[in-house]
Amino acid sequence: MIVHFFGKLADIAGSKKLRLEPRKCSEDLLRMLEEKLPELEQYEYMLTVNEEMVSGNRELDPNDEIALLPPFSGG
Amino acid sequence: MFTGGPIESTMIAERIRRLASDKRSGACEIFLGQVRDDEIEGARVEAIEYTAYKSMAQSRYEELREKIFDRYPIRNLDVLHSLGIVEAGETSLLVLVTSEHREEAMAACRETVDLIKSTLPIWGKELFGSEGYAWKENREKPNNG
Repeated sequence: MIVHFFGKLADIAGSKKLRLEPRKCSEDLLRMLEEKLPELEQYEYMLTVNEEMVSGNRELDPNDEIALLPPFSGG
Repeated sequence: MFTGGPIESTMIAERIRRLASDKRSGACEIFLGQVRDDEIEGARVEAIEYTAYKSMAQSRYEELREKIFDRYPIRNLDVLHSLGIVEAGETSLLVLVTSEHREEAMAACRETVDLIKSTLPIWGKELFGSEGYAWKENREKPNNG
Protein backbone atom coordinates (compact mmCIF):
# COMPACT_ATOMS: atom_id res chain seq x y z
CA MET A 1 0.00 0.00 0.00
CA ILE A 2 1.46 3.34 -1.04
CA VAL A 3 0.75 6.49 0.91
CA HIS A 4 1.53 9.87 -0.67
CA PHE A 5 2.59 12.84 1.44
CA PHE A 6 2.33 16.49 0.49
CA GLY A 7 3.73 19.75 1.84
CA LYS A 8 5.09 19.69 5.34
CA LEU A 9 3.98 16.08 5.78
CA ALA A 10 6.49 14.95 3.13
CA ASP A 11 9.23 16.52 5.26
CA ILE A 12 8.00 14.55 8.26
CA ALA A 13 7.72 11.29 6.33
CA GLY A 14 11.14 11.90 4.77
CA SER A 15 9.64 11.15 1.38
CA LYS A 16 6.77 12.03 -0.97
CA LYS A 17 5.58 8.45 -0.73
CA LEU A 18 6.00 5.46 1.56
CA ARG A 19 5.28 1.83 0.80
CA LEU A 20 3.54 0.28 3.80
CA GLU A 21 1.92 -2.99 4.77
CA PRO A 22 -1.71 -2.90 3.66
CA ARG A 23 -4.28 -2.07 6.29
CA LYS A 24 -7.95 -2.98 6.09
CA CYS A 25 -9.31 0.35 7.18
CA SER A 26 -8.31 3.99 7.40
CA GLU A 27 -8.29 4.13 11.20
CA ASP A 28 -5.74 1.28 11.29
CA LEU A 29 -3.67 3.01 8.66
CA LEU A 30 -3.61 6.31 10.52
CA ARG A 31 -2.75 4.57 13.77
CA MET A 32 0.17 2.81 12.05
CA LEU A 33 1.34 6.06 10.49
CA GLU A 34 1.23 7.93 13.77
CA GLU A 35 3.24 5.15 15.44
CA LYS A 36 5.79 5.19 12.65
CA LEU A 37 5.93 9.00 12.46
CA PRO A 38 5.00 10.34 15.90
CA GLU A 39 5.56 13.94 14.76
CA LEU A 40 2.43 13.59 12.58
CA GLU A 41 0.18 13.94 15.61
CA GLN A 42 1.18 17.60 15.99
CA TYR A 43 -0.08 18.50 12.55
CA GLU A 44 -3.43 19.05 10.96
CA TYR A 45 -4.04 16.89 7.87
CA MET A 46 -6.73 15.31 5.80
CA LEU A 47 -6.75 11.76 4.50
CA THR A 48 -7.83 11.11 0.93
CA VAL A 49 -8.62 7.76 -0.67
CA ASN A 50 -8.74 7.86 -4.47
CA GLU A 51 -8.78 11.66 -4.29
CA GLU A 52 -11.79 11.82 -1.99
CA MET A 53 -11.60 13.22 1.51
CA VAL A 54 -12.26 10.63 4.18
CA SER A 55 -13.42 11.33 7.69
CA GLY A 56 -14.27 8.57 10.12
CA ASN A 57 -13.38 4.99 9.35
CA ARG A 58 -13.33 3.62 5.83
CA GLU A 59 -12.46 0.22 4.39
CA LEU A 60 -9.35 0.20 2.26
CA ASP A 61 -8.36 -1.83 -0.76
CA PRO A 62 -4.62 -2.47 -1.34
CA ASN A 63 -4.94 -0.73 -4.72
CA ASP A 64 -6.44 2.46 -3.31
CA GLU A 65 -4.51 5.67 -3.85
CA ILE A 66 -3.98 7.12 -0.37
CA ALA A 67 -2.67 10.55 0.49
CA LEU A 68 -2.16 12.75 3.51
CA LEU A 69 -2.74 16.42 2.76
CA PRO A 70 -1.87 19.36 5.03
CA PRO A 71 -3.98 22.56 4.84
CA PHE A 72 -3.76 24.05 1.35
CA SER A 73 -1.61 27.09 0.64
CA GLY A 74 -1.90 27.67 -3.08
CA GLY A 75 -3.27 30.66 -4.95
CA MET B 1 -4.60 24.66 -15.13
CA PHE B 2 -0.91 24.36 -14.30
CA THR B 3 2.21 25.81 -15.86
CA GLY B 4 5.86 25.25 -14.89
CA GLY B 5 7.54 28.31 -13.40
CA PRO B 6 6.24 31.87 -13.31
CA ILE B 7 3.42 33.14 -15.48
CA GLU B 8 5.09 35.43 -18.01
CA SER B 9 3.49 38.65 -19.17
CA THR B 10 3.53 37.29 -22.74
CA MET B 11 1.26 34.43 -21.60
CA ILE B 12 -1.11 36.90 -19.99
CA ALA B 13 -1.10 39.11 -23.10
CA GLU B 14 -1.85 36.09 -25.31
CA ARG B 15 -4.83 35.08 -23.19
CA ILE B 16 -6.15 38.65 -23.29
CA ARG B 17 -5.62 38.82 -27.03
CA ARG B 18 -7.68 35.63 -27.50
CA LEU B 19 -10.65 37.29 -25.81
CA ALA B 20 -11.06 39.75 -28.68
CA SER B 21 -12.82 37.05 -30.70
CA ASP B 22 -15.69 36.97 -28.19
CA LYS B 23 -17.73 39.97 -29.28
CA ARG B 24 -20.51 39.29 -26.75
CA SER B 25 -18.19 40.09 -23.84
CA GLY B 26 -18.29 43.63 -22.52
CA ALA B 27 -16.10 42.99 -19.51
CA CYS B 28 -12.97 41.08 -18.63
CA GLU B 29 -11.86 40.93 -15.01
CA ILE B 30 -8.27 39.88 -14.38
CA PHE B 31 -6.58 38.85 -11.14
CA LEU B 32 -2.85 38.33 -10.91
CA GLY B 33 -1.34 36.74 -7.81
CA GLN B 34 2.27 37.60 -7.30
CA VAL B 35 4.92 36.26 -4.93
CA ARG B 36 5.50 38.87 -2.22
CA ASP B 37 8.87 39.32 -0.52
CA ASP B 38 7.48 38.95 3.01
CA GLU B 39 9.86 39.19 5.89
CA ILE B 40 9.41 36.33 8.35
CA GLU B 41 11.47 36.33 11.55
CA GLY B 42 14.20 38.40 9.94
CA ALA B 43 14.42 36.36 6.73
CA ARG B 44 13.02 37.57 3.41
CA VAL B 45 11.00 35.42 1.01
CA GLU B 46 13.03 35.14 -2.20
CA ALA B 47 10.74 32.71 -3.97
CA ILE B 48 7.91 30.24 -3.47
CA GLU B 49 8.09 26.67 -4.69
CA TYR B 50 4.62 25.33 -5.56
CA THR B 51 3.63 21.67 -5.50
CA ALA B 52 0.22 20.08 -5.98
CA TYR B 53 -1.70 16.83 -5.86
CA LYS B 54 -2.18 17.37 -9.55
CA SER B 55 -4.88 14.86 -10.48
CA MET B 56 -7.02 15.84 -7.49
CA ALA B 57 -6.43 19.56 -8.16
CA GLN B 58 -7.53 19.12 -11.76
CA SER B 59 -10.81 17.41 -10.80
CA ARG B 60 -11.50 19.91 -8.03
CA TYR B 61 -10.81 22.67 -10.54
CA GLU B 62 -13.45 21.20 -12.88
CA GLU B 63 -15.93 21.28 -9.97
CA LEU B 64 -14.92 24.86 -9.19
CA ARG B 65 -15.62 25.87 -12.81
CA GLU B 66 -19.05 24.27 -12.73
CA LYS B 67 -19.88 26.06 -9.50
CA ILE B 68 -18.80 29.45 -10.85
CA PHE B 69 -20.62 29.04 -14.16
CA ASP B 70 -23.75 27.97 -12.26
CA ARG B 71 -23.59 30.91 -9.94
CA TYR B 72 -22.69 33.72 -12.35
CA PRO B 73 -23.81 34.46 -15.93
CA ILE B 74 -20.24 34.68 -17.20
CA ARG B 75 -18.97 33.79 -20.63
CA ASN B 76 -15.54 32.40 -19.90
CA LEU B 77 -13.21 31.57 -17.04
CA ASP B 78 -9.50 30.98 -17.45
CA VAL B 79 -7.18 29.98 -14.62
CA LEU B 80 -3.46 29.36 -14.64
CA HIS B 81 -1.41 28.40 -11.56
CA SER B 82 2.34 28.00 -11.40
CA LEU B 83 4.13 24.87 -10.25
CA GLY B 84 7.80 24.87 -9.28
CA ILE B 85 9.74 27.98 -8.36
CA VAL B 86 8.36 31.49 -8.75
CA GLU B 87 10.50 34.37 -7.51
CA ALA B 88 9.35 37.40 -5.54
CA GLY B 89 7.78 39.87 -7.94
CA GLU B 90 6.78 37.16 -10.42
CA THR B 91 3.24 36.04 -11.09
CA SER B 92 2.04 32.65 -9.84
CA LEU B 93 -1.71 32.88 -10.41
CA LEU B 94 -3.85 34.21 -13.24
CA VAL B 95 -7.64 34.32 -13.18
CA LEU B 96 -9.48 35.80 -16.15
CA VAL B 97 -13.27 36.10 -16.29
CA THR B 98 -15.34 37.45 -19.14
CA SER B 99 -19.00 38.38 -19.17
CA GLU B 100 -21.44 40.68 -20.89
CA HIS B 101 -21.45 43.10 -17.96
CA ARG B 102 -18.91 43.95 -15.29
CA GLU B 103 -20.76 43.02 -12.10
CA GLU B 104 -20.73 39.27 -12.67
CA ALA B 105 -17.13 39.26 -13.98
CA MET B 106 -15.86 41.03 -10.87
CA ALA B 107 -17.87 38.90 -8.43
CA ALA B 108 -16.99 35.63 -10.21
CA CYS B 109 -13.30 36.52 -10.28
CA ARG B 110 -13.24 37.24 -6.57
CA GLU B 111 -15.00 34.00 -5.69
CA THR B 112 -12.77 32.00 -8.04
CA VAL B 113 -9.63 33.29 -6.32
CA ASP B 114 -11.11 32.49 -2.89
CA LEU B 115 -12.09 28.97 -3.99
CA ILE B 116 -8.66 28.29 -5.52
CA LYS B 117 -7.03 29.18 -2.23
CA SER B 118 -9.40 27.21 -0.07
CA THR B 119 -10.25 24.10 -2.09
CA LEU B 120 -7.40 23.17 -4.43
CA PRO B 121 -4.66 20.81 -3.13
CA ILE B 122 -1.75 23.14 -3.88
CA TRP B 123 1.06 24.03 -1.46
CA GLY B 124 3.68 26.77 -1.36
CA LYS B 125 7.09 26.50 0.24
CA GLU B 126 8.57 29.92 1.01
CA LEU B 127 12.28 29.94 0.20
CA PHE B 128 14.57 32.27 2.14
CA GLY B 129 17.77 31.77 0.13
CA SER B 130 20.46 30.41 2.39
CA GLU B 131 18.22 30.87 5.44
CA GLY B 132 16.12 27.79 4.66
CA TYR B 133 12.39 27.61 4.03
CA ALA B 134 8.95 27.56 5.63
CA TRP B 135 5.65 26.12 4.45
CA LYS B 136 3.19 28.86 3.53
CA GLU B 137 -0.04 29.16 5.44
CA ASN B 138 -2.99 30.78 3.73
CA ARG B 139 -4.72 33.44 5.75
CA GLU B 140 -8.43 33.23 6.39
CA LYS B 141 -10.40 35.14 3.79
CA PRO B 142 -10.26 38.80 4.83
CA ASN B 143 -13.59 40.33 5.88
CA ASN B 144 -15.20 42.62 3.39
CA GLY B 145 -15.30 46.07 4.97
